[in-house]
This record gives sequence, structure tokens and C-alpha cells, in this order.
Amino acid sequence: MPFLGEPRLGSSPSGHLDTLYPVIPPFSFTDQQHHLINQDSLKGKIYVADFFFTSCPTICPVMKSQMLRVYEAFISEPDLMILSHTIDPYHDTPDVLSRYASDLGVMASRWKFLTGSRDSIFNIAEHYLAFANTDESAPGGFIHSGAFVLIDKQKHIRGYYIGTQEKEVDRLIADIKILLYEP
Amino acid sequence: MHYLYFLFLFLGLWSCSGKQHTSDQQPTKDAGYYRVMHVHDSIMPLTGDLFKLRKKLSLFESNADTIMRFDIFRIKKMLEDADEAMMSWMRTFNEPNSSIPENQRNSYYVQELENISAVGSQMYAAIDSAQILIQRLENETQP
Repeated sequence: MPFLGEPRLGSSPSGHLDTLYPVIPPFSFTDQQHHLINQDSLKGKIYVADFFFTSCPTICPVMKSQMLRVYEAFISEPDLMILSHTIDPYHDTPDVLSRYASDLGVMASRWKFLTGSRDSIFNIAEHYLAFANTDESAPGGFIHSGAFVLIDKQKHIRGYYIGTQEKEVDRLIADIKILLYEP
Repeated sequence: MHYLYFLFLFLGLWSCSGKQHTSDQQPTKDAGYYRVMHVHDSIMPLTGDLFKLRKKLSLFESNADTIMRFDIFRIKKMLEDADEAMMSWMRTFNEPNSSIPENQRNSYYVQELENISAVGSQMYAAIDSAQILIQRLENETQP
């Protein structure tokens, strides 16, 4: 599976000159259980990230049902997590997110609904979506384009998928199966 | 210019009549719902622009004099308020239940079309102001 983004030459963790691909920078958000979630929380795991908000009247319900397919496909796989970031943190407090997760019937250990300052969420979205071929004039704009982003264990971006389209989510599910076997 | 756009959009959309149907001719939601969502979908992408412009204005803050800093603060506040107006509209919009009489549902959508159009005008006004200020700052200072 390809690595996405512009590579650069740099020192690898072993100290050798290597081709390095962009990684998701450190972050810190709060989940639906009021727990702090950061890069360390995802150590050794791959994850799917997306951006949504609970009062979204348009594409979120479709994204939600498609992400549920991903959740159910890997319900017994502890090395996969889903991170859904709210872009409306003023309204979507951890308690609101907790009710939302509870209505969906999903486990917090697998699917984190994250909140934080709006600027920090938009800033991290710029990193997640930096290489996505998203249409900025789509109803959600760049951050709410409906993209699902697949991140590997080293925090590289490995794939973008249109979260409102079943075939795209089928492709995501297939790619996750491949990525789970990568060291 | 953008204000006229919303006025015409409002009048144009409301002059359309009838129940909305999908391509397979299955009746779905009220036509009013789609009119409101049409405006919502056309302006929602601007939330990304509001964020990017606010971020760009912040780059000028450290080198700006007191008066200029005040202008930056004021326009950033306009961008924030416009962003919040959109989020606030989405939090309060509540599609009327089909058990509510049709004339009441239509009245709700007329009101919401007016509200979301006002949000659009507010967003465009903030974006225009920010772009003008950024141009002025680029001419006068370095980020």
C-alpha cells in the first residue's frame, strides 16, 4: 500500500538516511469518557479518522452508517481504532458525544469520539486532509468533506476514502485488512 | 453583491412549488427542506475559509502596530462570529415532524430559509472584510 504525501530525505529511527513520508503530528483531545487521547493512546494501532458533528443535518448520518460498517467488520480486532473528531466542540461536549456513542451502541475502546478546541481540531484536520483530493466546494468544505483517512502504526497517511460511498468504504475495509499485517 | 445573491436565491427558491421527489419519483421530504438545505450546502464550505483567513490574520499580529492589531482583532472576531452563526443555526434547525400540519411546516421552512440566508450573508461579509484587511496588511507589513 502506498504512503501518501511528499517524501523528503531524513534520518530514520535507526539513524540511517532514508525517505521519510509525512506523519500526523502529536495531538491531544478528550474522548466521550472524558479521557485524554493522544499519540501514545494509539501506539501499535492503525486507525481511521474522520470529522463530523452531532447536529450535522446532511452528510454525517450517511458517514455514520458507513463507519459503523468498518466498526462491525473489525469489532474483534484490537489493533484498529476509529477516531471521529467533532468540528462543533462548543456543542459536542464529552457528555453529548457519550450519548451519541451510546445511541450507536459502540465500544469506547474501539471508537473514540473526540473533542477539543475548535482551532486544534481544524489544525489537525489540515494534516489529515493535506493530501486528500477533496472538493473544497463540497457541502462540507475541506474539513467536512466526508473523507475517511487511514493511518498506519507509524502515523503515516495510507489512504483516503469517500465516507458517504459504500464502494469506497469496501475499499477501506480491504485496505485495513492489508495494513493490519504490516509490521 | 453577495447580499443580492441571497435575496434572489431566497425569492427564487421559494417561488418553486410542490413536493420534492427523488430521481425514482419516491416522495421524500418537504420541498421546503430541500430549499433550506440547498442554501446550507452552498455556504457550509465557507467554514473552512473562515478558519484559514483567521489563521492568516494571526500571522500579522506580532508585527502590527496597535491600531492595526485592533483591526485584526475586530475582523477575526467577525470571522469567529460568522462561524458560530453557522454552527448555531445547525444546532437549532430541526426538521418538523410529518405529523405537524403542512402549513406550519412550510412556515417553519420559510423562516429557516431566511435565517440560513442571513448566516450566508454574515459569512460572506466577514470573508470580504478579512480579504480586504489581508491585502492592506500585505501592502503595509510583513507577516
